Parts: sequence; C-alpha cells; structure tokens
Amino acid sequence: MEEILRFEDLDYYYQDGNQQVEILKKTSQSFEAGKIYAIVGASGSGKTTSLVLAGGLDQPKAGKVYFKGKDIQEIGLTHYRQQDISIVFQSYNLIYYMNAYQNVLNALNISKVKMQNKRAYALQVLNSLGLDASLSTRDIRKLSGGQQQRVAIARAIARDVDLILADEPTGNLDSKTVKEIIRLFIDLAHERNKCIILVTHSQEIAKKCDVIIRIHEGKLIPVN
Amino acid sequence: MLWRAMLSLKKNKGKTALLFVIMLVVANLVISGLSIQSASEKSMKQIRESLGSDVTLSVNMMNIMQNRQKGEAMNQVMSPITEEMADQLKDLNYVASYNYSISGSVNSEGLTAIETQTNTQVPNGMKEEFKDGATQTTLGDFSVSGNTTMQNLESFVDGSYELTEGKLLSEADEGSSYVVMSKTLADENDLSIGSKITVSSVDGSTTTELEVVGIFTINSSNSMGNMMFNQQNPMNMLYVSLGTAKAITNSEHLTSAVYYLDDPEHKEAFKQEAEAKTTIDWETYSLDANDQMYERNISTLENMESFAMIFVVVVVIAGGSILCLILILTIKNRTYEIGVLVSLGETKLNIIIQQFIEIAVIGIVAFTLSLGSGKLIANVISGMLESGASNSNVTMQMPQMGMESQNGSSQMPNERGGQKGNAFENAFTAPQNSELDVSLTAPDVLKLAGLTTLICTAATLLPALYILRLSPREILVRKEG
Repeated sequence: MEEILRFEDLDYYYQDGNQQVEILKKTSQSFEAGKIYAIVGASGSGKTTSLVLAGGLDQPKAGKVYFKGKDIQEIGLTHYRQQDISIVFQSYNLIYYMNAYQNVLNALNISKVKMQNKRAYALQVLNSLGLDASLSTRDIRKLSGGQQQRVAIARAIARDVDLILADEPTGNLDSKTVKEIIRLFIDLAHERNKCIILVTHSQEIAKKCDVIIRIHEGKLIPVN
Repeated sequence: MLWRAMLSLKKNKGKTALLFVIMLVVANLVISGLSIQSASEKSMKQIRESLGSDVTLSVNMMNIMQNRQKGEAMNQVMSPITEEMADQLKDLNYVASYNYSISGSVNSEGLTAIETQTNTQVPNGMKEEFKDGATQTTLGDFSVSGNTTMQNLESFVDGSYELTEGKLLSEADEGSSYVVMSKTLADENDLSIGSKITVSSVDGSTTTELEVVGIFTINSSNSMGNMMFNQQNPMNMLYVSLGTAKAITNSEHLTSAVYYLDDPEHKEAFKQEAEAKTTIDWETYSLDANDQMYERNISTLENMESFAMIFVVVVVIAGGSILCLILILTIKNRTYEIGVLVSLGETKLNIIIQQFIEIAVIGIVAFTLSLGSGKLIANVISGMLESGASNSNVTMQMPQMGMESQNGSSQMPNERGGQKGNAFENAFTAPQNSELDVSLTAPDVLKLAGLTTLICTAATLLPALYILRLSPREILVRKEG
C-alpha cells in the first residue's frame, strides 16, 4: 500500500503562562492509501493537534510531516491544503452565503480544478451523497446537521484528493446519520483508495476503522 | 474571488445597503467639491484673461509720496518715463507687442471743440486760468494721444470706440502727420478722410498740420460725465503718432509704456525678468499688471477654491474612516468564513482581494450614480457660497498721474493699454463674476475615480492586517487544554 502521510519525530507544545504544555513528544507514524484510521485518546491528549499538523494548519515545534515522501513545508502549506488534502470538521465549516452546490463549487475553484461543467459535477457529487437538486440549491442554514455534514464531505471528495482528514465528523449527528457518514468514509477508503484519518471519541466508530491509533503520553501508538 | 464577492454582497443585503449609502454620500460630496474647485479655477482664469495680458510701466506714486520731503512740490520729485527706459523691456521674453503713449492737450484755431455741458457753465476766464495741481499750466481744448500703435488700445479692443472710416494708426505710420478723430468732432467741423487740420501746442510755440486718416464713433465711454473742460470730452480726442505727439506737446517723455504679453499667466515671470535684466530703478517705477483689480475680484473665488479643497480632503478622510470602521466590525463576523477558506487552501491575499472587490463594486455603483446627482449638489453648495460674493461694478479712484513736459504743459493720461480716464475719480467697470459653471469635467471624473479607489483601498487596509494575523487553527479547531 502506498504511504500517503508520515509523521517523523513530531514535537508539539503550547505555552500556558510560564508553563510549557507538551502535547506530542517526538512521535512518528505512517498512514497508507486505501485505509481508514481512527485517532483516539483522552481529552487533551493531542488528537486534534495531530490532525491540525497533518492538515498543515499549524507547524510542529520539531520534526516533519511528509506527504507522499515530500516535506509539506517544501510543498507549501497553502498549496498542500489546496491540492492534496481535504478537511471535514465537526461543525461542518460551510460558507453560509453559499448554498450546497456553491460550497462544493467554491472548493473546486480554489483547487483550480480544470473541468468542463463544474456545476453539473458538484450536483452529481452531492446527489451521490443523498442530496438531490432541490436540497443542493437550498440555503445552507436551512439544511439539517446531517445534510450539512454531507455537503462538507461532498466538498472534501469533489476535489478527488488522496488524503481526507475528519475531526469528529459525526459529533453533532444522530446515530442513524452517524452510521451513514461512517459508511461513506469506509467506502471512500476501500473503494476509491483514499487515506482517511478520523479523530473520534467514539469507540464504536473507532472499531469500524482499519487502524486504531491511540495517543498516550504524547505518542501515537497503533493499537491494532 | 469576484464570484464569491458578488454572492456575499447579495446575501448580506443590509450591510451592502449601508456601505452603498455611505459611498454614495461620500462620492456626491467629493464630486461637488471637485466641481466647485474646477469652476473656481476656471473663473479665476477667465477673470485673468478678461483683465488682459498687458503690463504697464508707470511711476510708483506710493514710493514717491513716501519719499517726498516736506515742502517739495510734486513736479520736483516726479520721475519721467523715457523711451530709453521703456525700450529695455520691449524685447524681453513674453512680450508679444507694446505701445508707448504720450498724452497732452493742444489747441486748434480752425477746429471747433465739442462743448461739454458743464464747460459752458464755467465762468469766463476760469478755463484759461485753470491750473492743474501738478504742473500749474493751462489746458488746451483738445486732448492728444500719441501712440506707437493704436491696434491694442483698450477703447477700440473692447468696442467702446469703433472705427467707421479710414484706418487706425500703426507702427508704419510713425513719423507721419496723420490724425484719427471722433465722428462727432469731424461732423461738427465738416471734416472727412483726407481733410487737413492745424493744431498747436498750448503755449503756441509749435504748430503742426495733420491729415485725417481715420474716424471713429464712441459707443460708450466712462468719462462722459464729470467733464469740466473740453479736453476731457472723449469726442475732442485726437490720436496721432508718437513722434507727432512729442512735437506738438514738446515732450520727450512718455506718459505710459504698455507691454502686451503672449499669455496672462506670464505676468509674474515678465516682472521678475524685468527686475533682473534691466537697469530701471524699481523703487521709483513699477510694472502694473492689474494685480489689485485681479486680487479684488478673485478673493471670493480663491476662498471658494480653498474651501472646496478642504471640503474634499475632509470628506475623503471621514468617509474612508467610516467605511474602514464598518469593515473592521463586519470582518470580525467573517473570521469563521476566512478560516474555512484558508483551510480549503485559499490564500490570505485572495481573501483580502475579495474584501476589496466587495467594497469596490459598491464604490463603482456609487461613483456612477454620483456623476448625475453630484452636479445638482454642487450647484446648491456653490450658490450658498456665492451669496455673499460681489457681483457689481468696482469703483476705483485713479491717482493723478500728470507728468510735466519740458515746456511745462501738462500731460494727462487718458488712453492706456490699462489706465483710463482723467485725474479725477473714475468709475472702472471690473469684469463681473458670473455664476460659477460647476459642470463636470473629465479631470474631475478621473479625480473622483482615483479618490474612490483610494477610499476603497484604505477601507480594506486595516481589515487586511487583521486577516493576515489570523491563525486558521485558532479559528477552526477546539483548543486542546
């Protein structure tokens, strides 16, 4: 399996007054295409920090993050986020003055995807996630939580990137929708050969993933 | 970015409307200020041009009076203008043409003067005994004006006098014994083109025969009233060449030397060059460019121009500041949106450009609308400003400029390129300030476009700094603690 992402000796801490709070301590981990990973751990253990560093939203204090063997600092963090990864957040993080398909279209435009009919493609992606044309053109704020999360996932997968990061993507959803969303992620990993990294508190969701990684005392430790 | 900007404007109708109203008000006020400024500049230029491009070499009476010792008579301290002195200026830069003149009075045995109404009421003998204050000499019945050329004489240029037969004297007629007279005088004496008259100096020492080559009518004259003596009556004016005037007035000195410049704008430059390149004593003499008249007429316009300039600056600063504050307040509400865009890989620069586009689109619409409404406001404001401005004739007291000739005859200035009238109070019609023309000019439109762009840029600047400092992690992710 192709290695998509690698953490190498990552260190991360933040300053809390005079005290330095260590989050990650010289930890390394590799992530492969075609698999879905769950990062679990106690509250404050560094789960979200791992995702933030993987997404280039922040920089480690020491160590490097490699994407397909290349240091993401060398790729350029903006370019990396634009072309190589997609992030799905717990609170969906959609742009409120755009409707569903416009949110997807916006992501395609930012990625500078060259395509004949982007609008039709965006609607097709949304439709594949259960959002028909009438929902796709509706004001975002008038969609349910589950529908908004589907739009966020549609935005993530429309760009056809190899790495998708998801921070508690089912945190605000009902159990039925949770199952549907997780099924979507698993299908993306297994059928489309994406590398999916989920941060989750839920043991149930973690068990459905291919690899469970626990963060303990600043280290990423694969459990299975 | 443009697409996102338009979506944002469309969705946030309230904010868009607020920004639009502010921009519209700012644009209207700015264009009003610019229009008034342009109109004031244009009017000042028109006044300058209407006052003419002529500069007169004359005696600096103020300095002479100040320097005169107690008991000294005027004729002891007055300094004449010589042709040699005047020639130093005629070849300087900016001089398009010039005219020297000698004024005086003459008598004529065969010529009957046109009597003034008041003149007939002067007691017998008083006319003969009248002595002007400066020269203590008698006056003749006719005034004579000798000129290098009559082409630029103000009375003929402004249409007060109109040549009806023959020609005006020019440089080619120098040394000739030609005369140009009024039609009334010609008719009174049955004279026509080719007729000959004989004139003599007031002391009778010199007699000259002159041939009539031109006849003019007087359409209007400022000196028709207040005439005590015949020679003050413009109908009794005889125009001759400079050399002839010298001979019959027995004077080698000029009454005035007037220089006509190529452009009214060059008056100051000409004066400076004159001071630098000639040996003329500028304490005793001066170059008069109608500055007093100009300053008096343009003071209101200058005030308006300054007011308009300050007005524009204040409006731009105030308007830009208000817009900036509104954008800073609204940008805080868009922090989340910025974080999302950054997480999608959008650059912060593009996000700032989007902010600029949003305000610029509003600015363009406001700018376009203000091109129509701005003129209306400009007219209202300029009307309010002009309500105290002078719009009437300006009355000036002309100082007595009598110059003593060698035989003591008085030479009264009557036809200048600039100074009019006699030694007494004279009404001088200044160019009237007509209503300001606050039409929109192309430079005003360009200035408004530039200022609109400046306001939009300045209003985006502070919010831009805020955007640059944002950390996407802090926006989007729960803090680990």
